[in-house]
Amino acid sequence: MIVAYYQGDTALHRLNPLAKLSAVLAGCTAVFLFGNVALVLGSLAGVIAVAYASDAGRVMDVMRSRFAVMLGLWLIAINALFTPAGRVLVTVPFYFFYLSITDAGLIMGVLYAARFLTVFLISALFVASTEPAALVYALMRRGLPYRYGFLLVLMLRFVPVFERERKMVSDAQKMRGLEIDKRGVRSMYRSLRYTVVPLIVSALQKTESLVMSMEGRAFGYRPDRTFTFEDHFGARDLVVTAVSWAVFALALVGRFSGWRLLNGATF
Amino acid sequence: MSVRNLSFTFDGELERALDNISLDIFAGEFVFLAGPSGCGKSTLAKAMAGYIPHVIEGETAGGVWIDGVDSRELDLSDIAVRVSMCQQDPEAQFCTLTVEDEVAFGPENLALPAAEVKRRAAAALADLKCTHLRGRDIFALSGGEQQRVAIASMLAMEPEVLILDEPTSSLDPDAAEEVWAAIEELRTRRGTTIVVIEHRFDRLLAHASRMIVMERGAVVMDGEPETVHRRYMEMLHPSWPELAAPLADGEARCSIRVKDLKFVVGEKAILRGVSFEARPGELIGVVGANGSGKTTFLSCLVGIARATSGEVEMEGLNAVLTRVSEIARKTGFVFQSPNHQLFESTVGDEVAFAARNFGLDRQARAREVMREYELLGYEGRHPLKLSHGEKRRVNLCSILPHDPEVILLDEPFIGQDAINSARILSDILRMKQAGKTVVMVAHDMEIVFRYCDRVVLFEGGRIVVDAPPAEAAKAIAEMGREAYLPGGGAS
Repeated sequence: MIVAYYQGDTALHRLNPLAKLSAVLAGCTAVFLFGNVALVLGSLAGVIAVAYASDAGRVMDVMRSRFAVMLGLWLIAINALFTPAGRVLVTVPFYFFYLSITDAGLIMGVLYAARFLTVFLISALFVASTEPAALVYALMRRGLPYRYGFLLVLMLRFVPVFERERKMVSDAQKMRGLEIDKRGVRSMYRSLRYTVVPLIVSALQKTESLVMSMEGRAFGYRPDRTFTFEDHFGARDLVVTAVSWAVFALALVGRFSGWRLLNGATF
Repeated sequence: MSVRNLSFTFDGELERALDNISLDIFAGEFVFLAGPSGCGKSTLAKAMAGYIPHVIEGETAGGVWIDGVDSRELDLSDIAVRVSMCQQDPEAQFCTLTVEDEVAFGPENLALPAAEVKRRAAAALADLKCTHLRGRDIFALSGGEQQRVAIASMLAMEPEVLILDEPTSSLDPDAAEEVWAAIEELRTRRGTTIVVIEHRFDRLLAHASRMIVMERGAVVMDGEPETVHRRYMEMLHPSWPELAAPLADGEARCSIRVKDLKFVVGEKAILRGVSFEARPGELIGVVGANGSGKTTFLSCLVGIARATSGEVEMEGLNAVLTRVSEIARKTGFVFQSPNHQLFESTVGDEVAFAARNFGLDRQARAREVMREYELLGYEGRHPLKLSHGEKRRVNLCSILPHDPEVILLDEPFIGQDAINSARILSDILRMKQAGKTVVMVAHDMEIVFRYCDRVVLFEGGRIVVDAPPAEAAKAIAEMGREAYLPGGGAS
């Protein structure tokens, strides 16, 4: 399951990229600062509600992907089996030792899984609803040096190009009898040897063309440049940003003040 | 612009790429710069645009004066507002992701006021008839649209001289004509001086006011286009091959049989019910606009693209169900880009590569093929260090040692000069005479109509014409698609 930006006109799409970035950073940090499992589960439910309310329901495919489900279950199992604290609920006998499942272990497992899924979903919502170039341009307009900003734009620009070229090389290999999709070290070596060289040659040629194109249009010759890209930062963006940082501040204060409502039970 | 006694040698090379060139280019001229591959045309263009010596390193003597100022005394941003250069591959020079951002990129770098940037971008898009594309993803445009956007993005710098390096080499005839019309209008409306590098003469001779021919880094002809072209043809004298013997009657076996082939990606139908047959010894030319489904059709024939529905039989194998590696044993496929299909470090290993992967001991056959294609002298050389034309011949040669029955060629003449094209064509005819079925996608209508047994025209994912050249020409003319006839695009 790969999450990618898709064009749309949902409430999330309409939010300013920087407001969304604030929400992502604050949200992801906060769920790791919260120790209360109910609060983290509530956060996860809230993010799922946002996903559906903003018609980004297709992002929920991420949550149903095998990777997400397996990792969630694995986190619960590992914590349940290897957390010694708390009241013992079940004891599992093995040949040479016993494994005890405790209430604290189960709660820790659910906590970690919920944190992971929340971060996973927040990030997926951000990626699916934010045009990468719009984010970079918004950052450049607010002080990111444009040379670094365009480095990011160029990386974004090359991703689909190289994916297409990799496919072209792979097709040419198949037609010349090279089967690199088999498993094993030899196949991996052949894949690297016969795929990397043509792609590097292509990349170097493209880089040369690109350098000429950029320099030929005066890139980098002036300390500042004009940006005609316009992004709107309205009241809604302001509210999202303010709420995000308020949640972050609350989580931070709660964490270090020992506020039980945020930190949950201790074992 | 004045070029005075300009010589240039690339770092690490012994031979001069430019050898004592002197010429003047006057305001408003439309200069056609011609010459065989590797003669120094692009290097001269890069010197005119200031990339030599500002970006590309090497040993330079003499120089280029722009508006009376030595280009070495100007920085590249000063040159950029006077001379702009569009490179061969428009996609490779895009720096942003949308049409609007790309066209505004240059003026934004000049730190012009935002209103002026917008005015320039709008004017450049309007002049190239691209206004309707402004919000589009640049990488989702067709080849012709990309080329026009690339030119618009240079035009937004408002240069006095615009240099175009093979602007239509990978475009279909319709798109090429769109680009030429836009360039001509640019000269008429803005008075921009135009310098165009091209291998193909037909369309350009009608537009150019001057033709310059280069050879081995030097200017050898310069003057009125018709006269220079005639003299150049006498000098060049490409040895176009004799017509191959016609297909023997009675050959009934089909090497390729396609019935109602459909190929759909998402909701987009690329092929919409294609039926086609080909027999051994046939050379079939496939023509059509970029995006009409030609390359996808070739990919479906070998199973690289799996048909959504319909039947595809290749040398008796069901290409919808059979593994690509099985089909590849009976098929040779030369893809469009030479570099993406060169894998080994010597020409000898490259030619034997496929046979070795198929577990066949064909070293002797590989040498025999190299001898036939006059590549034995290159056996120990690195394929990536060869010229564009030589790489193409290695590509052609590399699909033969395992003796495939069907040969598929995707645009074998792109970027080739007349001499290389003639050699490649001889190689293709040799394959046909050896009894192989050859299906060739090409934009060169002169070659297709003169040498192919059948001409197949694709349009919107369908075959709309499939007939011998004379009949195909008649049908295409009746459809009003003259761009797909020999010399059809020439005005």
